[in-house]
Amino acid sequence: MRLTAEQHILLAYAIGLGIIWLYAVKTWLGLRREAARTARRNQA
Amino acid sequence: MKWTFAVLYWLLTAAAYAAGIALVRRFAPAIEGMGASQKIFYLHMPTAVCMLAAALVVFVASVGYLWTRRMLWDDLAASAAKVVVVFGVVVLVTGSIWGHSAWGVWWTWSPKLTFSLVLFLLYLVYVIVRPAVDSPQRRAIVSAVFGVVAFLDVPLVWLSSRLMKDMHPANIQLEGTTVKLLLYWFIPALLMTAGLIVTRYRLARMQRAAIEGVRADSTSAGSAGGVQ
Repeated sequence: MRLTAEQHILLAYAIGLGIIWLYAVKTWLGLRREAARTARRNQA
Repeated sequence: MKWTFAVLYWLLTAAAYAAGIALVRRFAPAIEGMGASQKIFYLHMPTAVCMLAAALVVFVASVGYLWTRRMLWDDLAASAAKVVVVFGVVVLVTGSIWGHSAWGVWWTWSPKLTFSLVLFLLYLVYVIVRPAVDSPQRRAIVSAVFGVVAFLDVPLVWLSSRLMKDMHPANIQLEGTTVKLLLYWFIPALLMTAGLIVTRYRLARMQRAAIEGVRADSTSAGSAGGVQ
């Protein structure tokens, strides 16, 4: 399959920013979950 | 209050990336010798620089741990190492797509690409092997030594295309709009790097506090085990 220059650019930005933002969301959710767990533990 | 600041921070980062894409679509000029897909450059290059900056954080934190033996340095090094791995994937993937467009191949064993792959693999090993060491102190020492040694690859990545014959672009004369766009793209990239390292670090500190709390509880209850 032959990709045009525009498709290469689109692919690079979609994959690159997709990976970065997926990791950012995963990290952010992990922090929120840990903070909630800590709060529960401190209450108990 | 902390959550509000964090939400604003991530919204700002997202907005900065979105504006960067809009600016590239609207204003990016063609650069001679960089192929038709040279617009990938604005994502690829700042991400690569931020990957090296995160590797520098690992190095400094590793030296900090070896010097002071305080666990916060170990947590900082581990947090930054994960960011190096994620940014490494992005750099390799975007570079590969750009290479396919410009050179007609997805991969070539040029010095810059090879040293970049080695850098990514070194930090991947760091992240994968770390949890396999049971003792926290031993894990921190092994990680710190590895973090210092792995950093030796960073100058090689930085200088390889300048010192050796390489297909990878180096010393390109950029001017006007290209320079402004490139400098702009460092804003979202640096915001993302700092945000990820700080968030990962806070998470690591919380997890360590939780583990040490459980360990203290189990010790006071007479248990010899504790959390690994």
